[in-house]
Amino acid sequence: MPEKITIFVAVWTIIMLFVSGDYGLEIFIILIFIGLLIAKELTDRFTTLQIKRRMNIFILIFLLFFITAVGRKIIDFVSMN
Amino acid sequence: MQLLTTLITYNNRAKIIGSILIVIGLCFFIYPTSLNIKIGFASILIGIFTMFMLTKKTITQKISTEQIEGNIDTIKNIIKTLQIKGNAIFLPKTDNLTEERILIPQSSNPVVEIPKIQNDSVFLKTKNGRNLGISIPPSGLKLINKIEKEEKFDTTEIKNLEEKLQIFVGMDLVKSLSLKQIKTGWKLEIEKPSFCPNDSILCAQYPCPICSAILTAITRSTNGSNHKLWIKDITYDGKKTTFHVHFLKRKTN
Repeated sequence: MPEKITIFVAVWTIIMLFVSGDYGLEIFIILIFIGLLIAKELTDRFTTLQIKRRMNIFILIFLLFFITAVGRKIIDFVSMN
Repeated sequence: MQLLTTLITYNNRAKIIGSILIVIGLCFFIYPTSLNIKIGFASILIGIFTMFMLTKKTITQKISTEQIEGNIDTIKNIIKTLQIKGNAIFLPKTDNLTEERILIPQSSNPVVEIPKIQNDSVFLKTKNGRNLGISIPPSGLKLINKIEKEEKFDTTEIKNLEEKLQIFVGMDLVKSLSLKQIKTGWKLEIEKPSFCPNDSILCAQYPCPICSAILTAITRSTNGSNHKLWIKDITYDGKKTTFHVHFLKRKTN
């Protein structure tokens, strides 16, 4: 199962690299984050605790980035008004 | 060359590939354009993910299969020598039994006489010396104990057990698994275990460690209600092994 998850994340990342096109790194990272959440949701009942914990570490890092990105956008929006 | 192959094990291979991807990713940051940063980030992410997620596999499947085959052959010979005809009955933990046992009755008659079994009982006889069969620990007992550290079965209702049993698929022990209630009992379908003797008579009498671990999990799911799980019959369609199992509700020991 870890092999399948790794292949999925790698393929998803490469596809999102093309999909994100001219958009910035923020959008690209958020798209990868969505991929990680999909991988986690689809494989949750098939994975061991060890794999779940490792997946959670990645998700947590990306979640922190997501919160930061959203926070910055809100601050930008508020300061514009 | 052989030494090199030995050194580049599965675990090392993942680390080597991961490291290469990280180095390639870092190279893209030398000329930091928007595209280069994204490619570099993607490469580093995949590299780190590969290193973290792909963990070691200790021994090759071939060696592990050969070890299992040796034990299965021994049991097969004992069963053949003692002319035991019955199908396995998985006995749950009781006051006398601290762990699950398999009872293989002497006769193939579905109405079996289940004697009082203790932890050290192996060859079972009546007072007048008639053989009743043998009682041995299931081959998958250690495996299920190990899996239970991650997924608890003893607090699970059998109706909800199928989802929990998918951990076996996740661990690559089986390709697919389903547990459905049918009119007369339960139908357990298992597709291609890592090791499968493909011998329906042996599987019904003494299932291999993976099937045995799954059946022990089903026995545990009854939650200490002293139900015994009897393998009624087994079918094999070339792809899936189907166990038809029944719970024997009569309290005997």
